[in-house]
Amino acid sequence: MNHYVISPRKRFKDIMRRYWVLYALVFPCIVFLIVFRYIPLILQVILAFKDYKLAEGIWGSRWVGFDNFVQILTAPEISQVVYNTFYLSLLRLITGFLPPIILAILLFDLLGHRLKRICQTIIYIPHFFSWTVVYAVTYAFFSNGGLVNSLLSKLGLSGRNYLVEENWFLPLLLGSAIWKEIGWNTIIYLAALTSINTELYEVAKIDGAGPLKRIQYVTLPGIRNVVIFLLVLSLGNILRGAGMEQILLFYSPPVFAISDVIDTWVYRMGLSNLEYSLGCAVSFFQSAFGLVTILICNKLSVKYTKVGLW
Amino acid sequence: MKANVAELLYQRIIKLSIILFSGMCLYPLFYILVLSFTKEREWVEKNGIVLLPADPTFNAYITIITKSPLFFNAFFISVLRVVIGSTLIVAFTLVMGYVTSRKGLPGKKIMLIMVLVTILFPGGLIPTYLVIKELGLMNKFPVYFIPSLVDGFGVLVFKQFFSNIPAEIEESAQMDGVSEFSMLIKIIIPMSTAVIATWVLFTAVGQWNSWFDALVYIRNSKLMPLQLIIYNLFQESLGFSFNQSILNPVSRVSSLTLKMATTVLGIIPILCIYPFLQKYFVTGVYTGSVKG
Repeated sequence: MNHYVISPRKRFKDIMRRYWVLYALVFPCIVFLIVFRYIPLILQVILAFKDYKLAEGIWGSRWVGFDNFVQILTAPEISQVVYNTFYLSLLRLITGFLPPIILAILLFDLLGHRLKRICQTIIYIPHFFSWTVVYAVTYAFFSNGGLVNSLLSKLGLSGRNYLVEENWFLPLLLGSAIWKEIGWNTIIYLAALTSINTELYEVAKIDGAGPLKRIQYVTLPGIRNVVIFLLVLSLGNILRGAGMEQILLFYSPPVFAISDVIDTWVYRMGLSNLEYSLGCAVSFFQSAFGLVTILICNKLSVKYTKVGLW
Repeated sequence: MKANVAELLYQRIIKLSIILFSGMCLYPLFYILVLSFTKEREWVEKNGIVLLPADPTFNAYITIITKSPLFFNAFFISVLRVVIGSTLIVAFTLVMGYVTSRKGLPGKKIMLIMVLVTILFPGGLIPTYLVIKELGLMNKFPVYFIPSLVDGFGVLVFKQFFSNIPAEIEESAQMDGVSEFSMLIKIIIPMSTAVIATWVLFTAVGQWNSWFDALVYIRNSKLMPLQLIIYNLFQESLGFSFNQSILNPVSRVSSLTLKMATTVLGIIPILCIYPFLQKYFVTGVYTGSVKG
């Protein structure tokens, strides 16, 4: 067999002749990624270990080692924010997880095709609305002069301002988020449900299994993998799942103590109070934590369901 | 016989709960529509319980459209960012998805890893803000789309889709001497209209709905999108209000009604494209979330 020795330069020339159009096409995309994704990423790491002062610039500012991280862990205000983030994401996960599964099973078992189509058309709509719309709806019902308070006062009961009370804030936040996303989240389960072999249902029926037994023995095992995969995925996103846009709209100083999460805190402290370094350290902590958890969770998912992110 | 009763009962129960549930989805929207047509006088007379306006009025909409130049401007900015933003974002994302789907292209693995890293490890708000400030994009219209030109997740979806196009089609095209660029334009894009349409629609909805980027990067009220105007309306501390003193007190509408009317105007475009969205999203989401 003959071995042709191709010089690296010739090889490079050949590749360029063949693929130069592709490289030219992708070049702007690469530049974009470097400027708007990688430079911020590197900047974040640098600033997290510096005490950034606007006057001194990024390079002139002092290196402070792990001071910013120590502050995150010791300052009560920041640890409260980190705690809130965990707590809220977890609550969202718990309250938001089951409803779409139940709804998907109901829709799947529903026999009338027309009703099914109409309902599906309706329940997906809220997903496409901005959070501002979700807030407007919540405001119309639960603000001081909202419908709920008006009805209560008609019944002779005293109303309250639900949006600024600690006990009511979280249920409203979680409830309105479920309202927005429940229908949309059924899609992935419905897709999994339609891939279940229909013969299984026929056999179960012949064996005398009622609707609930069929759910237990055919439907739930059929979507088990998707359920576990999605659960694991949202666990991996636990520090990013608090829902910044919604909180920014909903919260106000009386409920800051329970609703201030990492993303909202970084927005307020970083951009209004110019605490750049501390903000970067918190974000860095968030990203690093997120990366580790998502990798672990992906491993777990592959192990138990054979479904992974890549 | 007994089994049939159970089946029937089950169907009744799910039918009822699904209808109830659809009502819960729809009623809040209907209610804000009702509020947007309610006169202040009726609102006060009925102690804030208006289930259907007895005497509906278009005054809120007329006030917003004729007396508020800010609204018109914001609507225009939103439309503009939808049109320009979605076109450019999908174009960049598609190109990167196409290039990374080419078999045998040296360096494509590195490109894919570069994309994956940006998904797993986002840069964070503050450093991105600093970069945008340094580039002079603050308070400029392009800030709505330039910082998100290549959507990492979209690249993966496009790449996946293009990789599934049978290799024979591309090979025969290459045999005919078609260049890589005309292959993209003449073969790949026409074969992928459904996935591209899905992505365009979703990007468009995202552009229409977003306000946080404007909150961070835009100070000039002439460049604010509609959603930010709605956000500001509800953040009462900002003292943002419509001037409606010109209207006579009988047909006057409350500030609540004005807020709701503005919100409704922000929803209408979404409802207009919803039928198209619905046509595409099931396939789009499915390929995206399972294979992405």
